[in-house]
Amino acid sequence: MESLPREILFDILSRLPTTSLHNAKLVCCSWRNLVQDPVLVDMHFTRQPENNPCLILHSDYPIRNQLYAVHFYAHNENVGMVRKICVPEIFPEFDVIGSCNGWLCLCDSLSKSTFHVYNPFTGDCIELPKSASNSDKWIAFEFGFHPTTKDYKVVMIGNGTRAGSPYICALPQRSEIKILTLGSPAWRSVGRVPYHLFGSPSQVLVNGRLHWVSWPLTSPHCPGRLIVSFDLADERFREVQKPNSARFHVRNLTVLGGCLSVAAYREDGLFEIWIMKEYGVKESWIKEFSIGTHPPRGLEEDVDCSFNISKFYSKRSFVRVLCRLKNGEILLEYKCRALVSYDPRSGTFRDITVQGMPNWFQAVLHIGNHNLIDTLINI
Amino acid sequence: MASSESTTTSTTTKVLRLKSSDNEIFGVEEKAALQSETIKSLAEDGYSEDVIPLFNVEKKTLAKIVEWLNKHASGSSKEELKRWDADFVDVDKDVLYDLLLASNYLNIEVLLHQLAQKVADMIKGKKPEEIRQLFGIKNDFTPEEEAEIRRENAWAFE
Repeated sequence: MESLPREILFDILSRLPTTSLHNAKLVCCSWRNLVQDPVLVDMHFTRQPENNPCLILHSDYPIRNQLYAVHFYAHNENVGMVRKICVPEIFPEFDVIGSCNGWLCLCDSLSKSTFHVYNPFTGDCIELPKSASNSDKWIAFEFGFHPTTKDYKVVMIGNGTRAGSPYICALPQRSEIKILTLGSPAWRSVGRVPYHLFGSPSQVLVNGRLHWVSWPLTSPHCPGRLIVSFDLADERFREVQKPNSARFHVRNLTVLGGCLSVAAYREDGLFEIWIMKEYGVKESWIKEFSIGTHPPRGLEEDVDCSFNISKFYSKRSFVRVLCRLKNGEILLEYKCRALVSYDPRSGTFRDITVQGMPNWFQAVLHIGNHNLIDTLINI
Repeated sequence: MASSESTTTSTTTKVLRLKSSDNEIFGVEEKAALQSETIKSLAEDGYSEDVIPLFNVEKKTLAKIVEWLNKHASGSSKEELKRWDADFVDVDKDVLYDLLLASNYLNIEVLLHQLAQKVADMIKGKKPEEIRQLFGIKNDFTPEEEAEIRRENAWAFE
């Protein structure tokens, strides 16, 4: 193996999932040097999309603040492995806001004013400037990166409900937005927008734009939700045109094969996945899959009622589309309790059970890398 | 205007003759052989009428490479090629090394990627000790160094 030229060794090692690369570092001195070589770090990062993404499972029940990494092997039917990730002791309790280019953005779930970015595979962690704000008001947080400006930004969305409003169900007047550009010393307010934005468990980032499902505040009785985008470069909100489908009820947004996708429920209980093949072109929406119902094995067991106290419980949706695996299957999360892969060719479901997986979790898609902190902040 | 007849090419396929480092000569159809960037530039340099010497490839490896070149120029379906390739790289590690070195020297991008992926798949999911055994690598860390790296890793993984 040592007799192979460096470029071949780099080629081989750059194809490994992040955890295997860590093991490679322990093989011998020359492998350790190869793994730490900046050329390999770059190659490995560029090649990540060829591997299946890894899932970070955030579990807060029965023990708080647990993170697990689940790796799917591209050439293997069976899921690879689950590993527990060491969590920096920075918050009594945290939320995972999102994952971008190997970085997780974590937020203190109590104060909602302290943020860190953390690379779970290298242990690098930096604290971001605090936001001076009232914790109740901020309902959604997003973390994203713009490929042109190369800036990472954390976006905070406040719901502008007037304090003491007697109408509990009344939609807020508008949402307030604050932004932190990583590398800058403070949060900025970018004003208000006339939408009521729903926070999602992880960011939906396509073409440098974040996406939300929203109600238009100007006409609260308007049927159907909107898809709203926020451009991380010009910091403007825009509506994304939905597919032309009469009974279309957007449920959750996701990114499949780099394209904006929506999961929409039908009245018969099935759900459809639509994909916008060409970003911003309404005509390019196509219905890619119709997915039947599936009761995952894990859900048949009695629900432990004590989970009701978990913060995930209120946020859970029945099924969430996570990503497309390299073997063409669609990965789904059911009720924060089970992972299932769906094969669109045969219409069959496969329950994914891996030893060591937590019972309750929120899954965040993560592309691991060995980036060092200094590549994170574009100064 | 030049006569169009002069541009008419012969219908018989041209065969390039490749010579291994141990002087074995392989005849390969031009279309198949030119998948190698190295052979392509040698052919362009005027070796094409003659024997093309490949000083870095032994005959047993060149035979395998020629087999791959022919298969990939044969117009097989994608599915069939995929199956065939999986069998092709399913060899022991010494053969894999020779093929890696040869495809690197001959600059056959597609084959090089297949072989590198094969080796990566062999490493995937293995513990450091298993990787050492697989490739016959000696652990040359001092106990202190090894403990140090394990500590670094323990930071990220419990």
